[in-house]
Amino acid sequence: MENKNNILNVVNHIVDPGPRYTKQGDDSGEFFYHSILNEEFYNAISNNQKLIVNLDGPNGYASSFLDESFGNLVYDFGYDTVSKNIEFKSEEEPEWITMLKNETFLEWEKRRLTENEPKKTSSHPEWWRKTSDGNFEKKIWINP
Amino acid sequence: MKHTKRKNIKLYHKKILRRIKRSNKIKRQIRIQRSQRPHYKIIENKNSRDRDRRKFKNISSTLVPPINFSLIENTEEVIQFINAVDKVKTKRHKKIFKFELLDVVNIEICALSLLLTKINELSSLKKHYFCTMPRNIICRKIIEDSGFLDQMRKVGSNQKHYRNNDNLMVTRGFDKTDNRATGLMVKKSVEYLTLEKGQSYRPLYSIIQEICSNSIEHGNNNVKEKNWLMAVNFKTDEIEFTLTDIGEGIIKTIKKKGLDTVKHSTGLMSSEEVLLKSFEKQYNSRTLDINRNKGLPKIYDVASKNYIENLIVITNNVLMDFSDLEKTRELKINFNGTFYFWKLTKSCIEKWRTRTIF
Repeated sequence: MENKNNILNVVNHIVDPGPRYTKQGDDSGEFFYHSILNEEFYNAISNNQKLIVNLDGPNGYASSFLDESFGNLVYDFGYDTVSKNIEFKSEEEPEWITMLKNETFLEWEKRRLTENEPKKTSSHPEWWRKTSDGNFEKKIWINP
Repeated sequence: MKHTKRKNIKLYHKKILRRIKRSNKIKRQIRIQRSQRPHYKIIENKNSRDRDRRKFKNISSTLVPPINFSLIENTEEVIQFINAVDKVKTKRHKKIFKFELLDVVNIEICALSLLLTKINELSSLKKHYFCTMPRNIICRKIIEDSGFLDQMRKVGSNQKHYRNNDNLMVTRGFDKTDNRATGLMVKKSVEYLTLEKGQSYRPLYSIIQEICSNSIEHGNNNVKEKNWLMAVNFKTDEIEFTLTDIGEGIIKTIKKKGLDTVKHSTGLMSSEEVLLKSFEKQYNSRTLDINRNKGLPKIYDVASKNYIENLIVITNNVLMDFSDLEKTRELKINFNGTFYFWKLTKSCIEKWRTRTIF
C-alpha cells in the first residue's frame, strides 16, 4: 500500500538547530518555520496527507527552537488542524514530543485565541495561514 | 670620458668600527632579554609600548586579582575583582588595562573564564590590555596550558605563544549563538570520553543552546554588553564546562520585571529560593508570553537526572550548587550576570543512553 504521508526529516535541513529568533543566530526556530515547516505542512494537508516530522539526526535542540517553529504552526493553522495532521517521530529524544504536545501546542493555541501575535525578527516571504472561514490564504501576515 | 657614479662607501676607523660592533652587541642583548620576559599582551596592543610614559599613566589602570584566584573557593573576592574591572572599563579616558597576575598562587578554569569574558568586553570596547604572568610555577603552567594566552604576544619580542596541547577550547559571542561551534564542541567531548567519533550528546547541546539563547535574549539591550563565553577544559577522565553570560542575572531579571507570580512572594523569599523556583518553572518568563520559560527547567532537568555533574550556578548574590543544595549560599557581593559550571564524565553519557523512556 502506498504511504500517504509526507515525511519531513529535520536533519535534511538543519544539523545544528539554533535559538528562537532569526536575529539571535543561524538556523533558528523562526527561520525553520518560515523556510520549511509552513510550506511542508500546507502541502501535506492540501493533499489530504499527514506530515510526519522526524526529529532525529540533528545534534540536539534548544526548547525555544522547537517551541517557536511548531508554536507558529499552531498559531497559523489552529490546534485542531495541527494536532490532527502532524505526527512526530523521535527515538533519540522523545521527551521533546511530550513537550510539544503537552505544552507548546496548548500554549500557542491560547496565544492564537487571545490574538497575541508572534514576534518576527526578520522579514519573511508570504506564508500560509488558515483563516476564520476555514480557507487557506498566503500572504505576509506579520511584519518585523 | 664617461664618469660612472661611485657608490657611497663609508670608511671607518678601526676604533669606530669596534664601537659600532659593541653597541650592536648591546642592542642585540637587550632584544634577547626583552624576548625572555614573561609578559604577555593582546595582539591589538602592538603600539602601546611606544606611548609616552606620562600619558600612559593617565590612561592606564592596573588591576590586581586576589592571590587565591579561584571562583569556587574564593567566590566573593573574585567577583569583587571582576566588578572592579566592570567599574573601570566604563571610564572613557582609561584605554589600557594591566592585569597584574604576578602574585597569584591559586588559579582555576572558572576564574579564568570570568576574566576572559571581561577581556572579551574590553576588546569590544576597543580598549587595550596586557597581563603579567604569575611567579608561581603551577599557576603559570595552568595559564599557559589553558589557552588563555592564545591571542596574546610577548611584549618584548612580539612572539606568539604556542601551547603543546588543546586542553581548553574557548568559544565566545556577543549577540548571536554559535550553533556550529557548539555542535563541534559536543562531538569532540563525546569522542574524548568515549572514543566514538561523530556522536552527539543531546542534553549537553541543549543546555549550552539554552544558556546562550538566554544570554542573548534576556541580557540588556546594549549589544556590546551582551556577551557570552564558553570554555571547555579537557581533563584526564572528565571535561569541565564553564559558560558565562554577562547580562543582568536571573534573580535581578525576575525581581526587576515585577512578574505577577513573584510580585507578592519575592519579598518574603530569599534569593536562593527565588532562583530555585525559576529553575523549577514556577515563574513566567520576562516576556510574559505563556509559551516561554522552558530553558531553565530544561537545564534543571538535565542536572537532576545526572546527565551532567556538579552543576554550579552563580547569579546576582547567589551561588547554587545543584549537586548538593545544602551548599547553596547567599553571597555578600553581587555578580552582574550568570555563571554556569558543570562536569561531564563517561558515566553521564552512559546514563543518558541507557535511560528509560516513558
